[in-house]
Amino acid sequence: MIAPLVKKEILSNLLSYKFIVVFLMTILLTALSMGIMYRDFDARYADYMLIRPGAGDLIALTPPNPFSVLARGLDESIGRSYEINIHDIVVRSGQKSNNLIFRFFPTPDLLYTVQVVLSLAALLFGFDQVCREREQGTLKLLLSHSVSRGELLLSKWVGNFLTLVLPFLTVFLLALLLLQLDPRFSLSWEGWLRLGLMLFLFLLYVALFLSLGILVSTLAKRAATSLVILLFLWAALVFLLPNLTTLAARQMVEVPSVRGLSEKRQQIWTREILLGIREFDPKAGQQGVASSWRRHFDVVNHEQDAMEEEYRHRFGRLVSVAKSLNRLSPVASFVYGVNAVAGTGIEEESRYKEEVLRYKNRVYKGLMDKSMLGKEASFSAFHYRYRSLGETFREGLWFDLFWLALFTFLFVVASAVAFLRYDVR
Amino acid sequence: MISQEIVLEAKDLSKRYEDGQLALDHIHLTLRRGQIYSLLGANGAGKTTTINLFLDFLKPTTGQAFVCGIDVEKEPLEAKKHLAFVSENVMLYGNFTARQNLEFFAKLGGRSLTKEEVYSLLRRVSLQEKAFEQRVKSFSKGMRQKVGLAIAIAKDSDVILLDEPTSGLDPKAAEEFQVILKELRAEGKGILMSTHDIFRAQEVADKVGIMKEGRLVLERSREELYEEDLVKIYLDYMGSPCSMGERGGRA
Amino acid sequence: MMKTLIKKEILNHLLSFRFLVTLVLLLIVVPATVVVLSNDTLRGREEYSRRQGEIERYMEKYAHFNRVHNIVAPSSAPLPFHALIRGISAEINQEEFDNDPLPQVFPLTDFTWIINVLMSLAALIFSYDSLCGEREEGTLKLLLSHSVSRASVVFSKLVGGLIALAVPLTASLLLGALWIALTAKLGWTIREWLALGVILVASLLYILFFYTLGLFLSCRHESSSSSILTALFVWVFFILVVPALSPYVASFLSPTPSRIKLDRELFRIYDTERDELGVKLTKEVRKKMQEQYPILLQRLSPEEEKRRIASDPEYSQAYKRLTEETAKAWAEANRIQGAKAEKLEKEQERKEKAQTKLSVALSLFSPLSAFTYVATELSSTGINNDDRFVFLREKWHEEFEAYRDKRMALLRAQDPQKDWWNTPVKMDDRPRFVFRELSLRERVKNAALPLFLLFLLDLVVMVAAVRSFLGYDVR
Repeated sequence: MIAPLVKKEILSNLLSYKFIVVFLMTILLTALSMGIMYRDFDARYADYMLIRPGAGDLIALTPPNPFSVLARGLDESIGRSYEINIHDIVVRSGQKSNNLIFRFFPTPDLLYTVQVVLSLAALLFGFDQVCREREQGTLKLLLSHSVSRGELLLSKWVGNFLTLVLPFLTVFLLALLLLQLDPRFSLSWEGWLRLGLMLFLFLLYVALFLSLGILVSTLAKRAATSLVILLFLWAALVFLLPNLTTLAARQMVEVPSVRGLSEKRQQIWTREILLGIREFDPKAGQQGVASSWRRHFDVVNHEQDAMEEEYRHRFGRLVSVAKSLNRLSPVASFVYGVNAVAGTGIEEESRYKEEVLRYKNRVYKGLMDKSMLGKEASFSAFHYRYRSLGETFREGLWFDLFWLALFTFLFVVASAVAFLRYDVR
Repeated sequence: MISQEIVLEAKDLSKRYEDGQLALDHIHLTLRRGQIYSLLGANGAGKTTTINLFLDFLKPTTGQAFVCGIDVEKEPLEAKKHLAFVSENVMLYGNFTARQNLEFFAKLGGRSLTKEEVYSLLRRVSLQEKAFEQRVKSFSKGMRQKVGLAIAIAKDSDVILLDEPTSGLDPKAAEEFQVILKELRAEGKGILMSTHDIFRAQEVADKVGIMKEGRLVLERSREELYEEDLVKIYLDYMGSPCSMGERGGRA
Repeated sequence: MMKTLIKKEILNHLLSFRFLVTLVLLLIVVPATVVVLSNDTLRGREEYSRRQGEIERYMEKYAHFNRVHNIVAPSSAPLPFHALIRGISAEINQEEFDNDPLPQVFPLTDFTWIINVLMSLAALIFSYDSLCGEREEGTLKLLLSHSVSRASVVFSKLVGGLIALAVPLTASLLLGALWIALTAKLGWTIREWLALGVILVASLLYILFFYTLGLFLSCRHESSSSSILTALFVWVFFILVVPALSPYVASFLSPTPSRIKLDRELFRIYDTERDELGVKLTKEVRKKMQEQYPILLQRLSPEEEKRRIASDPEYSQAYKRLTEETAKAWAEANRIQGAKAEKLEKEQERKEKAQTKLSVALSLFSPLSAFTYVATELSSTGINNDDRFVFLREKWHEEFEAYRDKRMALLRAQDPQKDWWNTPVKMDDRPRFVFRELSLRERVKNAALPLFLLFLLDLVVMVAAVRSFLGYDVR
């Protein structure tokens, strides 16, 4: 019984103006986004190759993450070069930072495209599913046949989901195939698993908005009302709620400004250098001078580390408060989930920074030992291992997946209940 | 005494749509003050097209339409000052009440009505009192037709165009409609009405025109109809293929 | 007549569901944003003065000329307008170890965002069915059966819709403005209020664009359901695609070498290449001097040399000349390499400027960018503000260097032997960096072009809308 209904949904969609618009929008934007982000990746990779640390360079640097083509997240921040020296970490960033226009507008990666455009498309598919048929009078005709309401709703869901997702999947898979020509994108089995998980998140997200659309279309009397409600809901869920709650989180957790931190760092090391110079006593002998310097550098290192730890701690609090508030909107869960899977999320960045700090401390100790004991120190090159999928899953991804699925489920159930009690007249 | 001036005139009016379909084929018709002209015909015969041409909703392919001697194509706004229009299915601003709708359209016709005037107009078309201040959204078709007629009356124009105004109304409402039309005729208005309903047309019309496939195939005055059976003529025309209009009496 | 039509449009909007939703949404979002942002600004100010205090405390004890520029590096406190518009002064700092990546994940809302995204969407929702909707409902026929010209119908729709949209916007903005006015610590002066007035006008122009666009599309479509589809498609294009893509496209069309590469190159020029050049030049100098003073041809150990200088005036004379010339040679090497580096840096800067310009030009295809530039320029949180900061910083650097040289000369005169570079000295009289915003006149000048463009875009869609309604099939 379902098959002819699904077929009717798909067929009537394929012939509609709506499908043409959504089809064009999806194909165009997906292709454009992946093309642009690939070129961006390429440019950053070229930068990386240029400054890749040679043997003995005390630089913490990681190549750009191939998944950043799909979800750029904080990959640019992770991919900066951190040059370690005895009292500081010098940061160098690539070519993007000097064109101010980048700062005005969001990054058009696939995550953003799906987050904004595909959700809108899903709403456009869902908004009139029930009320339009009622307005046209076809609902009565349909239900005068021996079709159960549940079947009808299910076939609407399935039919629309398929028509919605197919153009996206086609372009996405095609683009992936093209990417496979580039050896930098050859993935391990875990990489493929990540890709699969991202795709799953994309589809779940589309399903969420389609279900929301159908739900509102069963609740609203007229298709026009349904559309107005949905568009405002969409703006609230996709933009307003996450952005406003981020602002609210800032009110709750006080975090020192980046500028303040760097000023403090400068104050600490210039002060210790000055004190070191003034303490200099030529009579103390080489050993004495070295140990005096070591004391000062230890103070610098210690104070900066303490400050950093305090900052990391507070910032971690801010992030967790912001995340909890953001998740009022399932869209936030989607964004966090995809970025976590891609390895470009906030947690990944924090972890990376901690790894850089550990590396700095190793280097510092080695340098100090060298100058103190005259021991030839050899520094192992910096290496960063991304969180495994298992760790990612345990550290929050499970919740995001659950949360998205829960909302989708609730919307589906609510629309089923509403439709079963729907006044067909 | 009401003068017999011509208020509505179609001269050699035809309309061919972009798709090549000839909707109206060289129509001539006149309507005088204090006359009711009924246009009869099947769906797609060209009745609505004729009315649309008088309203400047369409541009004629050939010929001219005149309202009170004003060429509609040349001076549409001037012509419309002398026109009121009631469509088959009067649609109003759903968020407004009956009173607000009437006030608004009366103002467009250049008249500011007091609340009392509005109410008396609505009473005249026998809309229930409690509906006066209700949003039009919830109105039935009959109620909307009444408000539509009230709007036409409020405009106090020389000509009223009605496009199948009573189709789908219950007999009582249609009867009331008819009565008001007669009153308006007595006030000296020229009324052009398209309809399917021959019986009523015969009863009220001063002139009847039968249209078929874009042509005015026959025109009869009230006097002539006393001697003929309109129903028979009508069915004759509907049944036989159009024979190039030789049988049509052109005015 | 026009008055009646406009009144009807406004009333029709005011009674509609969408108006209600827009009003409620804006009344919540705008004041909430203003409250949060002004708290943020005040907190930022407090933090700023705390930081300045720390710098002062440091300077009292440890101020020494060798590293002082690391300490007194210019920074500016949050501006009054940050209570409403964040602009690009947001802390996305790529050059520091610590950064605050949250805004990168979810860009924070501000007034510009509310206008850009919410109001454009609301404008389209208000107008997507204004003509085809009336046609579907059947009221259009009745309306046009009266003696009203089509142009006046479109015009009344434009004016009525704009007024209906302006009501919730102005109401909510007034609430926000009230909060700002009551929060005296934000320090809003007449200049800010005037700028806000111009921004409001620009907002209305921006909203008018989308409203008219919806009107145009509603003339182009038979049914309102296909009209909204096209409208949203166009919206996505203007709001999400063009602006976000423009800097990327610009960076492909007009690439700049990466800063990292430049840093490397500069290091090479200043370090290895300078050394090579210096050595080469000193060798030439030595050769020349040896020709002039054959005495210098003798190979001496450092001790012997010292003795010779002390005992042999001729040698001492030659030696002095040699050291002088060598120093000159190194200075020359420094100068040459410095010029080279400067040329490179200038070139880089020129390329970056060109890329930024191209990005701006490309993004201006969308009225969103035009409005963003107008709003940020007028609130002095935009590109020119950034340029001005850089300019003032350079100026301050020059002043500070002059101050340092003067002070160092005085200190050296006191005691030529002492290492003054690394001695704490009082620097209370140092020139201090003060950030002064551009004057209102300058801001308006900077905002004039995008503002004009916005006006032009409005005109274009308006003409398109009127033209297509004049040819609209009413049936």
